[in-house]
Amino acid sequence: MRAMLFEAPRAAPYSPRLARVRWRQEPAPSPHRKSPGWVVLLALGSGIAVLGALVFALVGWPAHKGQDWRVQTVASALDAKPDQLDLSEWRTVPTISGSRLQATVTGVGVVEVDPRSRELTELIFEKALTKGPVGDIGFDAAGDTARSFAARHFPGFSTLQLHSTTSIDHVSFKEHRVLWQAQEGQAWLPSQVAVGVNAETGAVAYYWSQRVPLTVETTASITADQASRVATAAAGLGSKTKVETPELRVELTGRPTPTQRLVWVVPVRATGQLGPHVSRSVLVWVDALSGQGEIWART
Amino acid sequence: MSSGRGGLGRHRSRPRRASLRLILSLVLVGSAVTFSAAEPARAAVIPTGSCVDANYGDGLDTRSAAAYCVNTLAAAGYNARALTNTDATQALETVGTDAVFYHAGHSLVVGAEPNVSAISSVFPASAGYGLTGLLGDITAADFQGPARVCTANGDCRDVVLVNYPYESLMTQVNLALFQNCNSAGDPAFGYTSLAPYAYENYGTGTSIGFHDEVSWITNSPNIGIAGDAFARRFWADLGNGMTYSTALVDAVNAGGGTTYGYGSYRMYQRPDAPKSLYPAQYWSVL
Repeated sequence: MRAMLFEAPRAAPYSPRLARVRWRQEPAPSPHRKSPGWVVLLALGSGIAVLGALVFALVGWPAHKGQDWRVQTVASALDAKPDQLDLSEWRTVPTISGSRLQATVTGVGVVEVDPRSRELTELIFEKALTKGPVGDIGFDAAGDTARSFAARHFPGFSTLQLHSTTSIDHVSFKEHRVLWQAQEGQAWLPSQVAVGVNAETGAVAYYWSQRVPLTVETTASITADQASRVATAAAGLGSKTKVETPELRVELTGRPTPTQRLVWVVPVRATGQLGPHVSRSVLVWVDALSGQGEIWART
Repeated sequence: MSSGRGGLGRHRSRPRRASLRLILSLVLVGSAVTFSAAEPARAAVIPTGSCVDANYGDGLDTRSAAAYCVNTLAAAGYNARALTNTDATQALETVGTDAVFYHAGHSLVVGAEPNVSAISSVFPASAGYGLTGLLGDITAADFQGPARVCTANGDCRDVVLVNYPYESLMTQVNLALFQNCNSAGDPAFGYTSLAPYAYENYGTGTSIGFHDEVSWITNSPNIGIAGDAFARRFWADLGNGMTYSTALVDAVNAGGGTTYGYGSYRMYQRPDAPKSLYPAQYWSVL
């Protein structure tokens, strides 16, 4: 058997007829070759996968509007469905109490949200910043409108106290601005809500809020009268001055991380000068614990 | 037998391909020529803006404001310059061509509450002068020359007060913002304050001032509170395309509401004037 395997192959007998036939030799099928179609599909799929991974790495998983908490917050505030809103890109803006995210809503105005609390912190209705028919809805009506709006958008609104109502003529429009603020004892705290109501149309012009956890003591060691005397001395404006009523507040100060201070805030104005002069009114902070006064701000 | 290179149909499409290439080339060349021709015309009408701030040496230091203004104006297509700690004459150089004017600092006022009117925006002391100012109401032009500037308690200093007529040259201003005390105060002694004067007499498109005194944190430019916060937010908002009216509300809220006086803003705006910075443009009532 073995001897037969190593025999030289016999030559095929010559046949003239067969010699004229041009044999078309089929290529031997290779066990390793794939069809072109599969290669293309594989390459395409790989490319898409790589591209998708790159996009995801760069921009993250695109949230559907209805799943984006920012859009949900704005939609809720505007009584609209998320998909109905046309929002600009979100931009980060600094505030004294931390960064906020702000965007423009087509046909409405500007919105701002707090990324920590996920609350609405500002809403400006552009169309309400215009003059209305002559007349004034009055404080009471404005206050009711403002209160209703604030209560809907600031969780825990009922814990705030009415701080002030101010009528302001901006010439371009008039407003009644109502401010509520958290209070502990005598001290006004940084958490607050302000609503501006168009005095002529009765429409809400803007909403603004700030929520800041309290981190300091709120009991003053010096009285308001003592604070007045300290402030007058610190202002250095002499005897012809008008010292406003001191207000006890927890104020925010410092960057990049704001700190809280319990201070008596005392506006001091120079009086009696009618001719041309440069204003020297100051805002004095008197530390409510140490009694030290400083000119915090000046005109 | 098959040649593998297509039959008669493909040969017929070659002239069509060549025609398409020729047409596309002509379109591209034509566009390039058109844009090139337009460029010189656009470059010739870039509106200018002046942004002013200063350290006055008395605790009022507004030296962050001009940069916010310049950065926004430049991005919006204006040719803007910052004037920090300069004499008022430098602001006069471009008054006739400015589309935007912004001053953050002291004002010279007359009157007493509730009627206090700012008659000029003040520049700090420079060599040889005490104070220079850009005058609003020209009927207040007498308020200059050697003068003593005093507080009510008698603290005085000798200055040379020079007021340069400015608003009389504001002829094509889109936006004027006077971040000064009482720059939109009610008239005192018959003098009209800066913002309404520019609007009523020289036709600015939008003129903004403040009825009350406005504050900055003492010696703290760039602190992000009060005046700095207002200026930073206002100019950033304008850069994002907001209208002047909306940006004002946002900036007031950022600047402490009514605490530092910014809630007392007054905006005078003509119905047909630009409502925002974009596109960069002059505006004239004529």
